[in-house]
Amino acid sequence: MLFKIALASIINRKLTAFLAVCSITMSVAIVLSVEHIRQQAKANFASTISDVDLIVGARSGRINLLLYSVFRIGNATNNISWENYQKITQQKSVDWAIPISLGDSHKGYRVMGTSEDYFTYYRYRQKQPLTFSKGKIFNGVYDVVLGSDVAKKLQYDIGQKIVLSHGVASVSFVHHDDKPFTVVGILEATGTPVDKTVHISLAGMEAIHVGWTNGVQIQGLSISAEDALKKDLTPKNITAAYLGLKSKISTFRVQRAINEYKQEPLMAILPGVVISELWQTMDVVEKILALIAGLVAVTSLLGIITMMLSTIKQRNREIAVLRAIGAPARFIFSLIQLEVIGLVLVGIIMGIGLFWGGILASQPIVSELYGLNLTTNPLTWSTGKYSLIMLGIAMLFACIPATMAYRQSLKQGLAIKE
Amino acid sequence: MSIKHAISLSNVAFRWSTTKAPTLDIEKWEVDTGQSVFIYGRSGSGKSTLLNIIAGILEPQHGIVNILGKEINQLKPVQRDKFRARHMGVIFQQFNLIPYLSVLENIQLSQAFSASKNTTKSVELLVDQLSLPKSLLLQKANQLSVGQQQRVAVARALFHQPEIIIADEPTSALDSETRDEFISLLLQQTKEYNSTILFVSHDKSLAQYFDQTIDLQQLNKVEPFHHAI
Repeated sequence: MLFKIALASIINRKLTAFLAVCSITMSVAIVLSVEHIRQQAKANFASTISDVDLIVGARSGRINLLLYSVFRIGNATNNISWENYQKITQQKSVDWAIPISLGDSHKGYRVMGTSEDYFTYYRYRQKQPLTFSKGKIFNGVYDVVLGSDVAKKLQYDIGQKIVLSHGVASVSFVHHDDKPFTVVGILEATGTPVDKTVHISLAGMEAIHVGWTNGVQIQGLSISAEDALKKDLTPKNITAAYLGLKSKISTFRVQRAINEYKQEPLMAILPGVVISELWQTMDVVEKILALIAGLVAVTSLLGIITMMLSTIKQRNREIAVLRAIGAPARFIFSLIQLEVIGLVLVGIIMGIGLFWGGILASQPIVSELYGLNLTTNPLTWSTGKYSLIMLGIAMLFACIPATMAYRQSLKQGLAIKE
Repeated sequence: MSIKHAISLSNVAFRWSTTKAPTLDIEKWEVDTGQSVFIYGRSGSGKSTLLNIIAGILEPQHGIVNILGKEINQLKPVQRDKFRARHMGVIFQQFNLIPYLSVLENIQLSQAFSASKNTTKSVELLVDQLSLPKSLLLQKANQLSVGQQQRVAVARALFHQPEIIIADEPTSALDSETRDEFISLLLQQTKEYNSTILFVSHDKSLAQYFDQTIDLQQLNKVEPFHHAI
């Protein structure tokens, strides 16, 4: 009976009810989307690098080292000498090592000099290796492997000749135009900074800087690409290195050994730890987003309550009739509560639908534009949690009009006051 | 079992709050079972209060309200609501029906609260006796004319066969022709069930239809205009 009356009452006010449901739908979709994107961003962020036990670089800030070595943001303050790199990697607890040499760019994309080991040992997300969509690993000194974004944005294909620029500014005036590179491989999209990276060999990095001192080309000393090949292209310095250890247990010991390395001021970080530290610096943004989503939700709920409150006054006749035929006052209370719950429930269900549909529809776009991989099954337990919280707040708020109707029903009795 | 007095009030006094003057003070008033009583009272004579007390919505501060042999002012509010649902039918001046429910649903509503199953008469028959077309049953209540609505209200009030009918100015929204027809229909139906009816109006000309006429100003010892409403 209660359900029947509540339903008929809502249907009777379909337009206002519809609008109220729409506002709930939108706010639920917003709350769920914000939460989902937050979780996904965090997961994506954390999955940028996997399986690397330590990152070694010149002694500077922990976050700075992580930013330039993993996210290609900022610059190294100093280098590691090749000699010391060799010494470190030759320790018996080190399983593998990937050298990284940074400092050049191509049309705003960072160039990274590395070894073949990069393609063998680098892992992202859940220990996923890098795969090629086209071509293969660089072999020659002037070979280059592109991240998927670079190839897509610049519309490069295998065989394309490219010129690298000195420095990392998006507009560089110093080009290594005497030594063009050839694209030999394009990587599959990973959703990590790898997509935006131009990979060359350490020898290639060395070759383009032959005849350079302290980052400046020596005037009148131009060495051709062919001549450069004849030189010793063993690097003198690298920027950073990824280390994989034979046993995780030795991580802290190796880290300490590097941090206390006498010959050169070096430092080693655990990428997972520093990534979560970095994420925590974005805590405020996260909280503000959550706050805004929460406020939107509360506003929409207040909207429904306002609607109910304004109808209570119009419904005093109805309430008097229900009382006259024997409805207890608490029936009136329940009726109002039920109407609110009904509207909010429909709103929540539609909101979840909208959210899900939205994620499915935007997934390919977000993946392509931002390299953010959203899972296509966004219904997690947190969906249920937020829905229940929303419903709980709605029930709490609904007590206002319900109590008002309840009081009114007691006070006005059988008389209908106009 | 038949009870002599359907309604019996003794020393009933009611005031809205302790700081205000009393609204109602009735020493003794009894209504025999099956009587049709016309209660005459101008506005402010305390008739709303009296009806609310008999219906069990208001609780008097003093006295005994005995309805059908039960002292309803001793009952809990929820029990009084149930008692009202089962034993009383209420008809207002206007807006008796839930506008967004159909006529049929409106009539069945009172039965749901009374939880009684002893209806011998079908809704169709009742509607027919009140000279309402059957096609009306599935219409929304707010699509009906005022006269039709009032007759549906009678059907709703009578459907669960209550012992007491309370009609609060049910004819004031009707024109004189439909009014006379309405009253005769109402009285005819209540007679059939041997129900007691309290019919409140400020229109003294209607008194002729009833077994008994009560002037509330004589019954109520509180001077009018000493209290609000």
